Amino acid sequence: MVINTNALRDAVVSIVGERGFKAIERSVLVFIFALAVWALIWQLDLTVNGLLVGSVYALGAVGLSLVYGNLHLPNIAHGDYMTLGAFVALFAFGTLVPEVWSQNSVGPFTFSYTLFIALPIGVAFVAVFAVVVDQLVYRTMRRRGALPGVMALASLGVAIALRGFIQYIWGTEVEHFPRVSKKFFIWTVDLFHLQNVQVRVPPDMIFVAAAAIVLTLATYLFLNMTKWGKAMRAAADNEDLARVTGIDVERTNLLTWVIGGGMAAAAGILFATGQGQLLTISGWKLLIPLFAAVVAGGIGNPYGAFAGAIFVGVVGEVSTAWLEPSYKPAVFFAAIIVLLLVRPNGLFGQSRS
Amino acid sequence: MREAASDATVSPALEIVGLEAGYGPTLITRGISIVVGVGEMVTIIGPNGSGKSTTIKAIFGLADVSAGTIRLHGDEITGERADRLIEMGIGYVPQAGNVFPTLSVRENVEMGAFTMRSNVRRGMERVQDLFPLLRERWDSKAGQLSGGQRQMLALARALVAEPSVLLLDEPTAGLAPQIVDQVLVQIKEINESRVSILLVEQNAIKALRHSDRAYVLARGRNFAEDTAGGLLQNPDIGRVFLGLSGAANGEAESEI
Repeated sequence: MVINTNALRDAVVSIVGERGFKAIERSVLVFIFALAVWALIWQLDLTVNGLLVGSVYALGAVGLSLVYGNLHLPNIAHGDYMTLGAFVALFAFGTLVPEVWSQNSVGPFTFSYTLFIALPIGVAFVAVFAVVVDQLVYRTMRRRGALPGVMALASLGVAIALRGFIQYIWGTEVEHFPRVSKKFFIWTVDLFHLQNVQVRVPPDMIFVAAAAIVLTLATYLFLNMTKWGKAMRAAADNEDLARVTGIDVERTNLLTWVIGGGMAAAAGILFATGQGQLLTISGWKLLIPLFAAVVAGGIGNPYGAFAGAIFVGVVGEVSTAWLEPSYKPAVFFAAIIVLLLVRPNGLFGQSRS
Repeated sequence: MREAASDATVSPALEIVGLEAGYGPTLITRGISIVVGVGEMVTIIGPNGSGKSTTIKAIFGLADVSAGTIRLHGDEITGERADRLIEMGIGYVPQAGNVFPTLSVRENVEMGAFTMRSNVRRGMERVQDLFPLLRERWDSKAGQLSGGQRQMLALARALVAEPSVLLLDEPTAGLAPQIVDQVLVQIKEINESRVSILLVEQNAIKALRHSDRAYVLARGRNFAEDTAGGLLQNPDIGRVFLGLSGAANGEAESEI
């Protein structure tokens, strides 16, 4: 069935007039906004956890957005780069770090200080891996002027091959990092003397959120304060102009992969830490919220991706109050469609001239 | 900075000999030769497709060179990488999209100094003195500048590395007539600060008034070359390439 919205609009306008229609339109938006605020407050537990989940999405989305903006590649393999990082960390835990080292946990967290050995190993490995894949696959395609859609399909190929490789090496069993069980943080909040809400937060998620904020901030500082960071932004703006200005564009491309791949690995490792488990499809399944976050934040804008990720995280978690968690992807995109109707270029998107 | 040529014979600032260049299998220039003397301002004019832009694009590797030699102060630079060219003292301002729109004015100028290892601060200050208008908008995004301001910024970005030769591809394209003069006067001032300039221009008459010499290209070959005044007075050139009728040509002469 096709609804002719113009006819509907005309009918309403003929009854209430043009100004009346505008007033109705505005009150509908206000109603939706008020409903959202009410939901966020009433489901405080889910809202807080949504903020934390959103910060993990943010770690993945910032890297994805950076690669998208600088290399015009919607990297479908990004989720599997996250998985690879987590499995390399698992390998580091299993072989390089004696198990006894992991028995004493840090503070209220489930992990021990050995995470700080495994994390950089995973990050470094994926950063190098991303550069190697770029040199083997994407660089050749860029030189031959491949369209973004074709590049995206190539990255889908990389994604499937990489996941196959991970499953071949590590199997498809559920894995987990060495961990010590810990209690949740629990706060009871009195909502306007109407209802007590229990906010339950896994301690690890606090650490993960803090790490996400620090890494995003570090990316921001690098891109805006350093010579090579500015050169990366220049190359993203206009690659030909960057080249004739004397900027080594091949190197800014490699830097983009080092940062994008490193951020993906950090996201994968921290996500596995926060979730307490690790699957070969973990990263792949995160791809939908990640792309949703990138679109919501304004394509190619890394800080927008952070905001978009928080938005997607909160919307997804709060929706589980009323809907099955398996409907989350539908919820992400419904929320994004509403957002893009109000702000067509995303939260922080700007139309490029 | 490059030292003044110490050899007995002074080499020209820029020398293009028998350049054949184009894009992929399409050849655009078919043996073009151009010389820019030290301190000269030289303009290339000619109809669309005559190879004006391709000639200077070829110097910076944006067109494929199949034959010919390009020398900078006597040193061969054919096929050199852009960063090497800038280090050797040659700057280039492309025609369209010649600023980074999402970077600030300051960051745009900093990118011009990307290959420099020293004297960055001095170059930045010099550029601010040369373009007071840019100093006022130092932290604005380049995308917010007007067309004329963008051209100033593009010149500033090329000048910060202190080139001895500057290549300009239609710096007045799409600008309002008053702004065209303003930009050309600015370019002349740059030239008078001992920067040799090779300029490609559609606004041929206005450009010739500020130039020392000019080349006329047609169908990828040298068609004519003379002093700027000589070309403006040549009735054939005036009629065919400058769009002047006999009477208007006389008027142009009297304004020189």
